[in-house]
Amino acid sequence: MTDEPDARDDALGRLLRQHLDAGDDDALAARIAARARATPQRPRADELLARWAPVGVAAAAALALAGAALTAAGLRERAATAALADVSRPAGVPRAVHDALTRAGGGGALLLPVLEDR
Amino acid sequence: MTDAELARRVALGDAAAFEELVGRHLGAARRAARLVAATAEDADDAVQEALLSVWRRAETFDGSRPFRPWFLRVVLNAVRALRRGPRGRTFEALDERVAATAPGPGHDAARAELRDALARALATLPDRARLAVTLYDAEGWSHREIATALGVPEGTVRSDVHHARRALRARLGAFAEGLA
Repeated sequence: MTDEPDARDDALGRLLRQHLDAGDDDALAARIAARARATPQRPRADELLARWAPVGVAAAAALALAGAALTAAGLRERAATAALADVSRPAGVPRAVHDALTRAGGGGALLLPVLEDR
Repeated sequence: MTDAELARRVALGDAAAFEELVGRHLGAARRAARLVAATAEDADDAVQEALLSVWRRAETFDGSRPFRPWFLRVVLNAVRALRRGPRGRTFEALDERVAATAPGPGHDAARAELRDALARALATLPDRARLAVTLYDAEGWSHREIATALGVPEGTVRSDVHHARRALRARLGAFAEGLA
């Protein structure tokens, strides 16, 4: 046996190998190979992408359609609100004054006819 | 072909490359696993699980790094998983584990005695020291490879190898003189 820190202790190495060798590596290797053949590998990133691409496209299309529908509904609602504001605004009251009073609270709107009378 | 090239092929599903990797590393992996597993059977189970993990997940290996320290870490993790596993196997003494690896017919009494002495001597060492001295002297690994595999500095590996040799020499007594 050797005390040299970087030298190999070949005699000890041989002894350790003899003691730890289980033998019959070929049988275990064959068993592992057989199990590997029966075990699917984890799919790679590109395979996963290819597998999920149609689903992704469909989801994106659905999201786009939903977004478009919501946008259209929002536009319609805004148009209806604007039209209603025009109808409810007393004649002669400027839109800016009407909007400011409406934002300030319901009481402001109630005062509009009074303002109009003046 | 290098281990890294084989591992890259394994990641692409090349079964022949996998079998080549198995052939290259099975023996050393089994010997290392036997140093730390509860039983010889557990050691082989751990090596098998580790190799199947390589087959399933070879793409997780960084080809710019050496393969065998990475693989030994996978093996040691598999051994630890078995120790924690639901089967709750008892941990038999190392000398029993090593003695269970029958050397085959024709061995004489002196060899058997030497084998038993070495088994008892190894059993007195911590797992890390057993691995370090075996990987260095029996498997021919570099200190750096062992340090990477065990997750310790190279200086620690050198120290472990040195102390393990001294302990083995002291325990083997008369047998050690025959080894000199």
